Amino acid sequence: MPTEDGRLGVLLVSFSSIGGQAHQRTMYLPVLANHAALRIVAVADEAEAPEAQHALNRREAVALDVPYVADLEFALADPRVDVVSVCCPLERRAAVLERVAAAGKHALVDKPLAGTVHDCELIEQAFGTTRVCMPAHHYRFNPAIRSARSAVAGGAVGLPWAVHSEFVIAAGTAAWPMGELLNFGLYPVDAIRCVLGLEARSVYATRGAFFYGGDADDFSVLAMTFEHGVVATTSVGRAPTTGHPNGYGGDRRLRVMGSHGTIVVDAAAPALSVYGTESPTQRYYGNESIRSLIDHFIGAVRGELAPELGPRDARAALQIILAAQTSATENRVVELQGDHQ
Amino acid sequence: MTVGVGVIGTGFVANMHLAALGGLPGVRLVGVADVDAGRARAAIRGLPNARGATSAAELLAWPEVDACIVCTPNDTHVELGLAIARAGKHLLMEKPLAISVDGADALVRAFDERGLVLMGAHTHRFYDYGRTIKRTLDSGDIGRPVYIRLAILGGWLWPDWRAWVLDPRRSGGHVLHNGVHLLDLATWWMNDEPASIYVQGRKETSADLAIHDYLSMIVRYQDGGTAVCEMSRANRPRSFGYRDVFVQGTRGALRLPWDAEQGVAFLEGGTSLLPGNGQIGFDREVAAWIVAIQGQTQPAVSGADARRAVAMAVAGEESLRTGEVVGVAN
Repeated sequence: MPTEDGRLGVLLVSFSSIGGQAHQRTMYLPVLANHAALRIVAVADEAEAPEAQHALNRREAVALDVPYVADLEFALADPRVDVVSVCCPLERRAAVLERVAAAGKHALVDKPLAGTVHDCELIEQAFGTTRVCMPAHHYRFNPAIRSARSAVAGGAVGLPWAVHSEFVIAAGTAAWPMGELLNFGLYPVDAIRCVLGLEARSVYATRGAFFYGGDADDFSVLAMTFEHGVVATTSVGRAPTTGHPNGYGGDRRLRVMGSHGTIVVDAAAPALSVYGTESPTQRYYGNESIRSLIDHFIGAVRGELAPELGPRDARAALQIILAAQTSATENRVVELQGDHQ
Repeated sequence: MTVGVGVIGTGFVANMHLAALGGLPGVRLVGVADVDAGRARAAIRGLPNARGATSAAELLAWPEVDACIVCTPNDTHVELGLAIARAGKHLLMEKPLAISVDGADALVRAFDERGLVLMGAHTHRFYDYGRTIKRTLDSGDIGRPVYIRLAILGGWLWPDWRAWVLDPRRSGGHVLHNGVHLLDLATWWMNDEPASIYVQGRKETSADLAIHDYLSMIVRYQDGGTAVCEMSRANRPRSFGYRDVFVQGTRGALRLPWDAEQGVAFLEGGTSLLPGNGQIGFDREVAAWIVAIQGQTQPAVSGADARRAVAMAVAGEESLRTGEVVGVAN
């Protein structure tokens, strides 16, 4: 039930740092806390969470001036809670989300939704079709990707036969400990699925740790074959180009070729080009993709629209990424209807 | 030293070489050979000092011929090339050097043994964009390249079903016919040896095509870099022309956008690029071959380079057939 003022009550579950990234604080909270349709009700975590995590969560709750509840079951029983933003460690995702679903709440979940395909399936089963569980694949809500999806779905290029993408984030300081293929790879893979409306059937990948030392991959290339033999490739990387004119956004583009035409979109657009005495910069002025994701989530929770993104999408994207990891290790094409289904 | 040149085969691409020869000092076009006498005559119209022949053997017997450019269908390259080597002439071979690795090896061996120049016509190395990217990468400004995307996309296939290129028995397939351009260029830029290749293809223009008019070729290099090379004759509209390059290096990146060279025309018939600056890679290519013959430099594209492109393309054709990743023969 929405709170008295009509806003949806939000429970923030865990401020965990996953691989050094605290997405609850840096990505979701800025939108959740300032959204006119939402109100932060509390911060919570599982009672079994480490004490240090409870301490961190408690500090965040104090900063937000909301209660901290060190017992997830208790927090979920609060009738003011309508939706839950989940950023707990991957190994706890399935258990946390099963509790959220059992409590009848909706969930917005940091990506990846879970660390295994099996956990994705458990989550999918737990939520069914009556509650919303939305993995934060926000790249598909970038205006450029939205426009490509709309154009393709509207028949602008006829039947698509190839999609090619770049996804190179210019934020180079260190690779994500579990590798950027898992960290960033979900975004372009999900965007390609979203634009095509098709499922991948095989994947070939290369990857390396080129930029930062250590073993974690920082740059990969995926070549996928989708249903109907549609060809798709994407780069996936965190590059050291910190002077990139697009800033953190780096190079993110998508080209779709079809039976009746080709479209090319740049995720750094719309943007101004600014020149001065320093290096030129691009100043983006499009819709912010996390805000668009959360708007979509709210619309789905309110029943105003059908959620276009759910655990099934997270499972499909994760299957591709896991198959790509296998492919890169073994230098072979991995069929998705065998190894990872 | 003036180099006497004979051109064997007078189809479309021969015209580009003939035009290049016409503007070069130190070169004399001796004549052309084509099994079609009419085509041979047409090729030398307006060139009063050039002769026509209806066989390569006839042309090779002309003592003024020091070197040949072969512009015949791909399946004839090895036999013709070996005859040229036996005749003691230098050779600029249209790409691909051969449609088999064994054939390419035989050619390289034949010219090496005789101390003759063998150069593969990988023309894209001689265009401004290709050279500028190469210079930039070699400068180290963006560090070591670890990823190259090179897309050369168009909608013009070949005129009709009579085109020999559409017959894989003659052309070797599209990876060998046009794919080699990109495979050679990306490898030259990467400055590394290919380890394996994976190729995805489409037959878009017609389901009856025996070759793939669209190719996405993923090359894995020995030092870990990857190139994605896209070659298309499958896009719509037929007038579509699009080239895009992106390179990620260990310290930076470079990008050549699709409209980097030419103006954009928004016209009643649609949007297109205006003609470019007119820079023709064939001119530089032939000039580089001539100075190599004159002993001033090594060939800009060696026989070994051209052989490597063949090995990559042959592996690529196998990948297309099998759907598997295929190692590139050293």
